[in-house]
Parts: sequence; structure tokens; C-alpha cells
Amino acid sequence: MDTYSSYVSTVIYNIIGQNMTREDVEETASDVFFTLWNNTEKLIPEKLKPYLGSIARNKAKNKLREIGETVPLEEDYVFVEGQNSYEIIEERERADIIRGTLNELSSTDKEVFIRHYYCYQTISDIEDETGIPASTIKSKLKRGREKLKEIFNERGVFL
Amino acid sequence: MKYKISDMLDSYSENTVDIKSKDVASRDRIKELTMNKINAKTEDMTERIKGEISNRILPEKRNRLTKRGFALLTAAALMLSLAVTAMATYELWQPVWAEYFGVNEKQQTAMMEEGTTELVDGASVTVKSINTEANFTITAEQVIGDKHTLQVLLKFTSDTPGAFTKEFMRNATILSPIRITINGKDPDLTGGGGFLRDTADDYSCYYQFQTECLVDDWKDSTIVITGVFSKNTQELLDDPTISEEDKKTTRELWEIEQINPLRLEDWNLSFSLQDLADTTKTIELNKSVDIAGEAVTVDYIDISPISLYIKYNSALDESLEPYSGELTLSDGNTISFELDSCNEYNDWLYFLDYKTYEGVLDVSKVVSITLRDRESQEIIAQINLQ
Repeated sequence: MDTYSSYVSTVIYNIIGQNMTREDVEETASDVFFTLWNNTEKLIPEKLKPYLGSIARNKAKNKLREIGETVPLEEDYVFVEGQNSYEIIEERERADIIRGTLNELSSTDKEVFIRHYYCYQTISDIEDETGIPASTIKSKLKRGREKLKEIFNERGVFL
Repeated sequence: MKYKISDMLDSYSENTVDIKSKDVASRDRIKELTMNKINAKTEDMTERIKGEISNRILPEKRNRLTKRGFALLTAAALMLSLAVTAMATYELWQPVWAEYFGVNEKQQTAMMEEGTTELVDGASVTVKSINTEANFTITAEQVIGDKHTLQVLLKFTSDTPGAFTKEFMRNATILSPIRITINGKDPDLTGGGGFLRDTADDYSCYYQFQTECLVDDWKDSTIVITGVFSKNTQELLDDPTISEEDKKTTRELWEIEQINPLRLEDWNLSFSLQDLADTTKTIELNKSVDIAGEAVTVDYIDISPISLYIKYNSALDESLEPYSGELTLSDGNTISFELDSCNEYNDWLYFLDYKTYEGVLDVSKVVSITLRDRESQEIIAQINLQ
């Protein structure tokens, strides 16, 4: 808990920080570690950090939904043509598509995309941490969105 | 159609980007809140397990017992399961059971001095898990009994570490009916059980089962214990052997299924009680005794090192609260007991808190029984046995 509480808190803060208090962040972080305690038998030690990050992300999103708020992200939508089958894609398959899409991006584009849409970092935070100018970050995000749309449309034909 | 990118990433697991941590929360506060939740859940689990062990009555038995209870209005019975110590013919308490019943070192030593006898010689059955390749072994570790009750300690062992989590034990207690058949017949009364604390490892645990049944002589009795761990939640919900009441008290069935994918199919364990000697002493009284302000005629009392059974010929007021009391021995010493639960049958069946019991009971030395109101400690019955 000592090792990961800052990381977990930051993940949560990025999602609910603008709408909730420090106490809410702490409460949600404790929910994350409590969930971990409840599921120790499923834990793979090497994947502890992403596992915690994933729980923290989901719990924070749920908390935000409870109050009817969302995180303001840069064009958080991708438009897919026609009657796409996204809804019927299984979760695992969806993860494969996302992973495949991200892997087709350059490493920097992928990192920026993940920081913004997965880690909910603001453009400003990404700029601070990576040194990439805000305008470039926006371009990279746009490239990611277009790639995602392209792959979904391609997969839609075959699904 | 439009899809939200951040939501699509819900199923993505990220391990490549290191985000810079911010000082946005107190580490100590998070730790404190987490520990509070863990402690609360642990206490809840302990209480539920204790409750299951003390109070759970197999559903189909409940109706039968109630009807039987009404039929026996003129011969209502009060049974007090006394603190389990030891008798010469009982083997040493298995450690986890000794801890559960509160058998102390003094009692254990006394038992060793008096000599012990093996009751169950490693009766075990191996069950193949449905969803994994893991084998589960269920072993009857120890069985004790007297004229009115049989208590069995089972040990569950898996080849797979992590198979028996606290969650598993809690939920399996609720959802996994375990029954005992004695000499081909269901015990005519009730039974219940639950998982005790886990062992030092995470692939074995204990299950305590107790049943009330009238058997005059256990020698060579054949015990068959059957159980089932359902394969999935739907099976649990559809299982007609699980009462609707139990289903309702089981929260988050889907979560149970997710957390505990290891489920067993039907299994049964059969063994013979070759050396179980019943040392119950029956004292015919047939005299009027004032119990809680009511004059009742006590027919007889059965005393053994594991239970006290008082049979009288009229029903007591059902509002009678569980009580504590003591046995007075011929040498003037007393052995106290406390009843910690009471089911609501006309049989007036009680169980006690064994942890208050500190002596090795020699049934031949008991000269009187005192029952007290547990709250006020006021004497509500004094029964002289001589």
C-alpha cells in the first residue's frame, strides 16, 4: 500500500479530482486496496501495478457517474460509419482491437493517446510530463482517433 | 455511430506509461480507511460463520422439526450442549477444533493423562474439481458424539494454492449444503455447520458440522456425509435444496462465482464409527422443578461431556431467554456454561459458549444443575440430581 497509494490516488484524482474532494480520492483509493485484498488469489505479482490502475480507473469512473459528471477530454468520441457491430463485440475482442490499434501508432503517439484517454491526463499535464507541446499533443490524439475509426470500420465489414 | 474512446479503453490494461504521481491524498488516511474496511469485513465474516455454525438449520429439516415439535408439546425438551472437554474414550481435540471450542491446555493435558482412542482413522474422499484440474480432498479429521449429538470436523484440501479464500469459506458455508446420514437414515433432527478459520496455508480449511440425533449406541454406526459445490451461480439459484431464505441472505451471487471459480460436484464421504463410545449418563428424575417461574415435571436428564439434555413434560414459555449456569460437582467445585443461542422449536434446543467451560467433566460427579438468567444472573432453576 505504501508503494502504490500515490499512484492509485493520482489515477483517481485525474478522473474525479475536478469534481470531488481530497477525501473522496482517499475513500476511493481505499476501495481499490480493499478490492485488492478481496481478490488476492487472482493476483499476478508482475501485473500488480496495471491491475491496481485498472481498478482505480473503474472505481473512479463509477464514482463520477454517480454524480452525473464526466471528464472533459479532447474529442472523446470516434465516429464509425454505418451499422457497426461494436455493441456485440465481446469485451476481450474489444480489448484486442484497441490494443491492435494502439500498436499501429508510433510509440510517442501511443503514449500520448494512453495518457489522455486511459489515464485521463489533461493536455497540460501531458505537456508538463513529456515536454511535447500542446499543439503536437492534439495532433497526435487526432491521429490516434483516426486510426481507431479506420480499424473499426475495417473490422465492421467482417463482423 | 459514435463511441466514447475512454469507455472503449475500459477493458484495456495499461503497463507501459508511467504517470507522475501527485500529492493528492494522504497515504496514512488511505491505509486507515482500507484497514477499517478489512476489519469490518473480517468481523462480519466471523459473525456470519459463527451464526451459521450455531443457527443454521437445513431447510427441509426445519419444517419437519417444527411439526414434530408441536406433536411433542407434552414432552418438550431442553437440550444444552455443554462445554466439550474430554472423556477417556475421546481422542485429543484436533487443534483447530480445540481452539474453536475453547478447549484449553489443561483439558488437553488431562485428556492425555486419561488416555485417548482414535475415532476416525483418516476417512477421506477425493473429489475432482469441475472447472480446474485441481483435486480436492475431504477428510473426516475427528468425530465426537453422545446420545443426542454428533459433531464432525472435516478438512478440505486442494492442490491449488488460493483455493480456499475467506470469501470461499464464507460463501461455501451458506451455499453448500452438507448432510449427514447415519446408518442409512437422515438424523431425525437438525444439523448445521460452517467453515472455521482457515489454516496457515491457503489451500486447506476446516468445516465443522453438528447434528442432533438420537442414537443409543454409536458402535459400528456408518456415517455418510454428502455435499455439493455448485458449478455456477445459476445452479445455486436453481438448486431446490437451498431454501429461498438462504438465497436471499446470500449477497452478490455473481461475485461469488467470479471470486470462487473452484467448485466441487457432489461428493460423499463414508466411514464407520468403530470406537465411539457414548458415555451419556441418564438420570431419571420425574419431579417437579420450577423453571423460570413455571412448574414443570422433569422426566429425566442426560449428561455427557458434550451435552446436557433436560426432558420435561410440558412446554415452557417461549419467551424464555438463553441462560447461563453451572454444574455443581460432588467435591463442591462448579463448572460454568453459557448458552449463546437458542432455536425456536418447542424442543428448546440451546447451544452454549464453550469458551467459558474450564473443567474436565466427570458426569458421575454432577450433583446439581443451576440455570441462570444470562443478563441478571438470577437463578431461574435449580435441579438437584440426587
